[in-house]
Amino acid sequence: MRNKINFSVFLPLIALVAITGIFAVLTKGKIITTSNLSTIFDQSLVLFAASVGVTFVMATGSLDFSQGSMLAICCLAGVYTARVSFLLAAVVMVALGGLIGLINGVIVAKFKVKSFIVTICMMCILRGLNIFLMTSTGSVGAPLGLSIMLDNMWFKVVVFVVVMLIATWLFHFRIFGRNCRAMGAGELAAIYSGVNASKTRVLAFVMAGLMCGVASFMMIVRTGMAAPATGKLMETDILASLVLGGLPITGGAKSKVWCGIVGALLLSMLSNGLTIMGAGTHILQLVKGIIFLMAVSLSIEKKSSVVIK
Amino acid sequence: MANKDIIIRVEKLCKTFVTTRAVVNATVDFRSGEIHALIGENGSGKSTLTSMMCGINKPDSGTMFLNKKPFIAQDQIHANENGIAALVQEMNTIDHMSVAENIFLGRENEFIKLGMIDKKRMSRAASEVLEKYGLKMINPNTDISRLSFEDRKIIEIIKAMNTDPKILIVDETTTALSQKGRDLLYSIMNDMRERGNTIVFISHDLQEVIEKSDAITVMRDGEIVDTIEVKDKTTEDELKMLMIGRELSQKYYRSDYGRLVSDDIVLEVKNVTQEGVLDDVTFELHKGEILGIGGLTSCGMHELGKVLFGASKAQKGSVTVTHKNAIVKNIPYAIKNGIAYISKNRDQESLMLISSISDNICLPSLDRISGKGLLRHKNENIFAQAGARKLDIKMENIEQYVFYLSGGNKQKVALAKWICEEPDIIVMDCPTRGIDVKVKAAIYSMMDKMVESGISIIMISEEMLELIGMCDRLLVFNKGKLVADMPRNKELSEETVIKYLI
Repeated sequence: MRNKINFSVFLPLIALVAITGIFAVLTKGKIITTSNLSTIFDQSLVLFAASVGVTFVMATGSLDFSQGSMLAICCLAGVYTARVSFLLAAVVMVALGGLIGLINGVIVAKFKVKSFIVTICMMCILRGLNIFLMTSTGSVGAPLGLSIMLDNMWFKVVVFVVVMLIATWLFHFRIFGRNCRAMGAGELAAIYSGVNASKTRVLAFVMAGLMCGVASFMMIVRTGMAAPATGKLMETDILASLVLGGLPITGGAKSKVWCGIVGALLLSMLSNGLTIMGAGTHILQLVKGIIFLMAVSLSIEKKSSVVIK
Repeated sequence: MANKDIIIRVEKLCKTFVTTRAVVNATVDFRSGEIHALIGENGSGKSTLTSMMCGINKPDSGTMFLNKKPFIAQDQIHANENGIAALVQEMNTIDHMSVAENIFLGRENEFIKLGMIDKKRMSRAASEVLEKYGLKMINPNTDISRLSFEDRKIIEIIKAMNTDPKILIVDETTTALSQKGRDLLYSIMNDMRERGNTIVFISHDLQEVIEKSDAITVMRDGEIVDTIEVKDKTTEDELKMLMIGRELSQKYYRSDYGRLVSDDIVLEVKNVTQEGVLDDVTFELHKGEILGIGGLTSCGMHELGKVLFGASKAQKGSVTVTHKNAIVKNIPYAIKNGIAYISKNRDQESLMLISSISDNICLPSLDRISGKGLLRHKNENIFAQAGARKLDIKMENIEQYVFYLSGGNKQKVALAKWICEEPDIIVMDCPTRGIDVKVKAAIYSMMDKMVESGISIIMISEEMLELIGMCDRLLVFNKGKLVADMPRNKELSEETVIKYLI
């Protein structure tokens, strides 16, 4: 195998290049102008930060469907606290995300409820809470200064790099990341090798929550507000981008942090390209759904019995 | 025997999986009215050959002749229709369906009444079938997952027989069965032979093979070595020689007696009790000792292995690592205090199959590999490579998935993983189960090396000969109780030990 290149690893990258090429032709080059490319980066940043967090959860073989609603609640907390201080807003949002992740993780790990059930319930609860809290106010705006100060390329590139580095360090150079992958590859074998399964799973969900906090901060920086529908269907976008990026839906040995980066770019490129070509949001959802389905069916490891924990 | 008709002939059959040549130019004649054994080491191609006969895999080249007519099984149903049925190694019953539904799976049409399945009639039919095989105690309406592993295997046998096959492939089914189940299977096999049908019989138990079969075909590295008629008084050693391709020059079991075991106690087991499983078990493990634990599968010894490792909790009693004065309470704590455990359930509890050899070997030792700094992929591979070399694991490279290894090599990975972790005490539950002689010999010699370097071993096994051959001391369990404690002794015979088991 040493001399053989495993093409499936590079497939998402090839797809990214291919999609860029196709849209470059279809949109007559509009998609690859500097200004549009920076828009794509801008759009993908929220998705990217959240996807990187969910990578930890998916590596263990679990899923997180609560991300979209979690993002909405974090944004709501953010727009209010930002009136006091931007730093406070950032801290509160990240901490709130972490707390919700902790609750998810504890219920999954200690009460042995399947992750998709727990997080779908959490999705409903948080969405309900978000709409309830906005019944009298409607959408809430963040202080104008926030966007003026931080909605620029420099800040975003710094956030992107920092998130990247932390996630890569934790996932690829620390035992925590190895343990996450080991749980997805074979939970019993991992437990019998001394991996603390509950702790690892709880921490993975906390990680997903913290990163969702980061994503929501980037969200209010970009949009300047929190709305009842903020982050709607975000959870499926995250899953789709991770799977498109090459992360097996059952987690395990092949999980990598850069799946989230490539996947988020791919999905944003796709949305952007279709929008430029005049497709509406409904067509966009439809196309995303079909592509997600295709990616999952093509990528599923047929040898492993597919179990989502 | 040559006068019997050839019922199925495989000719120049070849099958290659991604990179390994599993079966090469295999030509064998299976005759009617014979039990034809297929033996060989793990990975020698036995299962691949039979999987082509029953339609699970398709050959790359070559042909088969069924009753002298060319025949290639398209899939399992096609094979079934042509009278070929197979009992596979893995469990093949469907949980949460009743015994009757499992027996008649795929044949529900025979019980349709007014567009619905007549469950009463199906259950009556199932009782009749069960009764025919002397299994009246099994209720056809019970959920099959409530039966024991063995009973489920027996239901599988009955299900296969129910299609009235002309050729039955039995792939290592006996390892899963106790004497009772084996006797039933043997009588079914004999009955089929009497009626002029054919049984293809795969087993690692050479004694069983010699006793039961009419002809034995030996495979090595995917090729047919020889087919011998059992009438010419074959011996186990001859078969082993054919399987390995050379004489067993190295010793198999230990040959030394009277080795002095240190007085140092490394592990104390006190009054360990688990209701209905273990009854007030107390013993000590010495430094550098191979302590054997034997008994019937259900005697509680497998559960005891888990208790020693902290994977299962005892209601009463304690397991203490003596020199650290640490009472084992969970797995991470047991590992921290120098205990390792190789499970009998290799594919679930010992190994991550869809993961590289390197990932598997490194997992318990990640702390040591990373030290205080970063965990580097390169260092992991170096660490794993050293372990793989120690055990001579046959692999393409260290990042190959464990899934693709043969049974014996998988077990070597499980062993390498713990040897690299450098434990003081290693608990092995059936370390040689379903493994060929060559890997067995390698594991035994590894055990020798380990105790020489001061590691203490607890070896749990259902094979009395291996326990007698390898252990400094042998504990025998019966219904959760420790019933005998015997030192290593040349005179110790299998019969003596078996007396305690029953």
